[in-house]
Amino acid sequence: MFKALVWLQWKSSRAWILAAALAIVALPVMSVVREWPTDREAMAQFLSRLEAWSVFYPAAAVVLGIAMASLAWRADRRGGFVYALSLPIARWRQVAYRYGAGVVWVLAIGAVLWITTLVVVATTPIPASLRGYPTGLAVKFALATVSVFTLGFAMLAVPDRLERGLAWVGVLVVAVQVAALFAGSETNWLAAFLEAIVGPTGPLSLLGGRWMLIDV
Amino acid sequence: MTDVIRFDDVSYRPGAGFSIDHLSLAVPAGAIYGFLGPNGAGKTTSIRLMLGLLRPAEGRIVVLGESIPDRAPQALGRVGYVPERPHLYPFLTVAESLRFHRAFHPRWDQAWATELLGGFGLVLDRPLGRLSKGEMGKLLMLQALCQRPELLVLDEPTDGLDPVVRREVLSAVAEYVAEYQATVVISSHLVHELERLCDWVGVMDHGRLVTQLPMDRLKNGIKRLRLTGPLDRLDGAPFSVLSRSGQGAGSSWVVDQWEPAMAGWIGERGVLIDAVDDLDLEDGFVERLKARREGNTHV
Amino acid sequence: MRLSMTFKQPGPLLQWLEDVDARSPIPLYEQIASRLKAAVGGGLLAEGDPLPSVRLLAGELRINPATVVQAYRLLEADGFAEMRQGAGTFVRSPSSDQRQREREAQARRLVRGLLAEGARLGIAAKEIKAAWDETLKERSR
Repeated sequence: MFKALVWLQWKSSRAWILAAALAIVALPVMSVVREWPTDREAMAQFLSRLEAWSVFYPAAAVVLGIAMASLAWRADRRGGFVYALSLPIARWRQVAYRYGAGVVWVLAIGAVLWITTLVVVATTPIPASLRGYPTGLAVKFALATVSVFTLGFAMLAVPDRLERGLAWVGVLVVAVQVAALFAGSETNWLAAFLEAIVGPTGPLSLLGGRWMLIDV
Repeated sequence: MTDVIRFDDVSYRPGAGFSIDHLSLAVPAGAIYGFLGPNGAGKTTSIRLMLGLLRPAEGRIVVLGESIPDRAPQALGRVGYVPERPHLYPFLTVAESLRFHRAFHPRWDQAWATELLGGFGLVLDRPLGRLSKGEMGKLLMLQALCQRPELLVLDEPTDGLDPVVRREVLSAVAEYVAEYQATVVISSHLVHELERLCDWVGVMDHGRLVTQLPMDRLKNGIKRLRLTGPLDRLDGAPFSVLSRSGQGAGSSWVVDQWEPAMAGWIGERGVLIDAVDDLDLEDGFVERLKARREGNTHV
Repeated sequence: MRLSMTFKQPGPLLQWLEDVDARSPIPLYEQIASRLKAAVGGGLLAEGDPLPSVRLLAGELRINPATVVQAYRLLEADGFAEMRQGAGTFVRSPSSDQRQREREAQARRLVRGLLAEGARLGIAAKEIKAAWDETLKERSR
């Protein structure tokens, strides 16, 4: 039964899973640098530039976590949960299995990130003053996504329409920020917003902190 | 255990004007139990209570010897359920939906599933979101049957289907019962569809049970009498009167619990019986509902 | 004779049984039994022919399997069929005695139907009897 539910989660959210896997491969590959500056001042500037990019890791964790949570129950919610409830399985067990199924896929994407970062770090000449953190980043990403997924999974009661609205706002915000960064803008209000919820006092502090693959 | 389903004094009040009040039901083992009533009578709610999808406010429900809703998962493994509205996952194909369903039902009959798929003309790789109403109805029935249940609960299984599909679906039910001696509860507002299939009938209206009888007693007990002569005093009548029309000479009475010997009781009162007409299930059903609503079951 | 399986075209015997009427005051099992008797009389079924299985007939007619069993029991009691354990139900040619009794029973059923129809239309048995005698007289002329 658990296998069937893992498979069901794949069927319902494979587009998101694949997109997340793609993004998670692209992020470290794109943010890596072939030629590093030699003087300290340029290096510091460089790192802050990298940090601007690194905001997309927690962003991806949030989007993926919410998507997986909402897709875990979407079809059931539409049918008034009648099918799920008519299956011969205790309610708590079904909820646990479905939660587990979501976690399985989140961890799978975490594994994809881990492999990618390992490869990237191994194939990039990193200056002696810096270090790669492939495992740390992947674990942090997986834990953060699981946290968001858990939160979303618990907040199933959000009506369909509200949920769709929130998803669109999220996509829009990320798109605008991407455009702004490409245009060379210094403002990073996505980071500011994230800081508010995920900072040391925010509800998802795990999402805060540094998300650097390569750092001092 | 002779009753597959028992409701003892069950009440359920979701608020907002509708409630199930003091419902007591008994579906004997091996019965094909027609659950009748107009739309909104509470049939679907009762069925959901039966399956443990809802929790009653009061009363006791036992299905296949399991106390509901606490032991619903145990009972549900032996129950095939076709809901009023399709509830399967639209992003799965027919084959995928069967595969998912099968994972929860260890007694799944794959040979019969294959046979029914062909017979019903279902295309394996079609997504459920693109099935017609008839195809969805057939798929739901197939899933319920192939899990080889001891009890089939069918909530308006033919509603909105065309006559050909309706026949196929009801045929499959009759064949299943012949093969496995299962008990069936089948709800419908199309009374006459159940007339040939069911041997027990329960009628609901406004969240209450109006009557519950073996089909032949329901059909044979109700007669329309045509009388000549005034029959005014009914105290001590061995039958009950559901309705009357016309006064004095030439009146028409619909009576319940009628037996041929009761003609004597009327004759003793100097009234001639012109005719004793049978009512079919639908007319009988309508008369009972009317009598119940007007509160004159015992005039 | 060949009987159809589910989902195939119904055979002639099933077509013959298809229009049993659940709304009729005559119970379904009686209707089925008398139709099958008529099928034997009419040569559609011969001695030793298997009757449709309970599953097949219940499925095709969308009726309660118990009704089919009841019909077959009635046929057996009347000497028109034989239920063999595990093998099914087979046609038996009734003795001429039984045949005669069946013809009489059939005739009584016809008359009962006629009277019931008359009652529905408000025509008394007396009037039907008169019309009956009248018609017979006309025919014999």
